[in-house]
Amino acid sequence: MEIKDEIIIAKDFSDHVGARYKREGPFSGELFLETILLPKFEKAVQGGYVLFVDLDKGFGYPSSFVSGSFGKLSLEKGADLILKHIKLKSDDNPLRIDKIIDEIKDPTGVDL
Amino acid sequence: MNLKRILIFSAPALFLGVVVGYLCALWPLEIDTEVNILDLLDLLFTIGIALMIPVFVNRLLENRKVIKTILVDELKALLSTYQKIKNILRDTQFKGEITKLDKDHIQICLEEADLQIIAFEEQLTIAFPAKVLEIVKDLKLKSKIYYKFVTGGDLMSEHFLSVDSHFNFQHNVEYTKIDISLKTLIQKLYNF
Repeated sequence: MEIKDEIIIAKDFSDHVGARYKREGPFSGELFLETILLPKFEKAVQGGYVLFVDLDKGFGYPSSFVSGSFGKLSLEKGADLILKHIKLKSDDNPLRIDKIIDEIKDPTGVDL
Repeated sequence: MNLKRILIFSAPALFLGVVVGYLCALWPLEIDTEVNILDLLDLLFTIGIALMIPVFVNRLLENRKVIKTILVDELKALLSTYQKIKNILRDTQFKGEITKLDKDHIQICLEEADLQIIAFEEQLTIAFPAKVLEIVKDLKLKSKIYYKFVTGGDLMSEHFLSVDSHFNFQHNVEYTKIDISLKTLIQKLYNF
């Protein structure tokens, strides 16, 4: 599948992401999911293309943010569909990708 | 090699040659012309190997020691990064408040830890490729559990304003787990 859209989190959302829920402060995972990730992901699924997500240039991604965004998306849409339509990139720290993929595959954290 | 070194190494050899030549002139050696040239070459080859093996083995052992030291240093740096997080949490408990700056610092330390794990993995891949999968998989798992404990709960919430003794106690339990696993890994490395 072709990449037709992208999210550069540091530019499109924040380079300083927050916690899990909106009530916990600014730039939460929940806000990212609702305003950027979910709409773009749904368009990618409908359009049959891949959404490219750039994780670089940020301060890093707390587990609560990852859980509130990618984890929640996985619970709603299923890991296979997400992994089919989202491609993650991080040259700064490739382990960020591993952590997010682990969260997508196991959003409830039971495998840990 | 400079001239001084050349002189230091070649002077004793020259002296030895002169002495051997003088002794041979005094007591001429009877050379057995019946000896097969292949036997002579075989003898020289065997002597050569006997001299080279200790040199090679020693160099190999020395190289392994240096590589292990580099790998152990990487793990010690990782331990020290996790120690920084422990210190931040301990200090904030005593201060009675945790600021946004403290939380950023914790996040930066976790990123630094990731980069140290990547560096360790890269060096281990070069030095001991057969061990990489088993060791790094376990290290990444332990590190992920710790990361999830530290940043997966309420800590990153803006309403989390102080670290209490309960949180610090729980943190110390998780910290100890990763601390022990890293120290055990250092022991394992020494036994490779």
